[in-house]
Amino acid sequence: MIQALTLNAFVGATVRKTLQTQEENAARSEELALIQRAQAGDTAAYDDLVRRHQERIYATVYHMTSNHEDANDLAQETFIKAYAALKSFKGDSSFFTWLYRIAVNKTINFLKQRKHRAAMSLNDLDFNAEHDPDLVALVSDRTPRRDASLSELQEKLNEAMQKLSETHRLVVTLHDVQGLAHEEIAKIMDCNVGTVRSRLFYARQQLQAWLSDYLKR
Amino acid sequence: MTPENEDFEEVRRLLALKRHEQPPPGYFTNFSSKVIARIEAEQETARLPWWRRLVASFDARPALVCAYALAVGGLFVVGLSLATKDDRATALVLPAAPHHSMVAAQPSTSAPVASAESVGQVTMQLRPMPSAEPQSSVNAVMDAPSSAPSDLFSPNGQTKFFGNPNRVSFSPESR
Repeated sequence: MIQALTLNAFVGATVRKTLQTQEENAARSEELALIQRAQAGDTAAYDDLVRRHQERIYATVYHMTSNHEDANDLAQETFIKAYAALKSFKGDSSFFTWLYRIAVNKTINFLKQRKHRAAMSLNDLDFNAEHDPDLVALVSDRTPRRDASLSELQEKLNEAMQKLSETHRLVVTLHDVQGLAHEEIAKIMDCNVGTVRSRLFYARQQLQAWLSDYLKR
Repeated sequence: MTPENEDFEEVRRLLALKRHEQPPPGYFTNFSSKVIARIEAEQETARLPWWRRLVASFDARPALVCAYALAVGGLFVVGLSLATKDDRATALVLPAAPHHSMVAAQPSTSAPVASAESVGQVTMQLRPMPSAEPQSSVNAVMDAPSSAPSDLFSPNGQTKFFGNPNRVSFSPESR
């Protein structure tokens, strides 16, 4: 009986994995077809590609700049530059990684050219933030600054993020906010996984020191 | 759970707050169409001739227009002043004299000792120089007659500059 259940679970997991792989392959080949059409000058196909990646590209740039207007400009410019360079895309890396590289380089150049830190222009927290159990616990339970509201916490967090160097902020954004794997980040940043890990460790250490008043002890 | 995760669990939970920061509602609805519109506008601009692109770039940057206007205006003023100086320098070079005494020409507001009507309206005061060598090309190399040499403009249209006869036309009749 137990063996049968285990076998069923194994088969179920294998089938799910196979289906997932098939879906990923289908999505990848569909995206490849869109890329080829866009390379031939089909702007409708490129519009589809933009829709697929706009939220993640915008989010990356936004978390790097903490400014909605800058993020809007940079995200648009990223897609415009990507379209201009689309003919050079050979498919060696995934389109997603290639696009991320353009966005990241553009954002880092922008931040380096910007001499003074611009005023933050933060997006509002969505409705789910108030009901996120982790966040509710963070602001109400054993937090030294328990009177801090979510919006104050958001502001302090963004200030701390802006204190990090561009490369450290990028690693935190891609890993802890966007949930990318170390390997994927290494490809985007064109460095090895060890560098990504060490940058992530240092960045978290810095953030922990700066935000200690808002964290549980 | 690794020690790294244990150490930074609270930071990571706090960072999760950033996932809830969302742009204004409907922001992504028109995002791709704005990108495509900008791409098509750039393609249109690329098809225009260079001077239309230059004018189009002025439309977007008034500061650039002012900078160009100032630069062009400055060049015009500099060019004008240089041209005026050149005219004066040319005017100072007068024909050679039969005898070789040197004089320097200086602009003067006083009454002219020698008038050089043949070179225009510039009034000159001519004084003998102690040195026999010319100081510069600006110095006038000429004799000091009380009037213009009689053979400067000959009736047959021939004149002598530095002793070389040249055929110079000064009037339509001489052609």
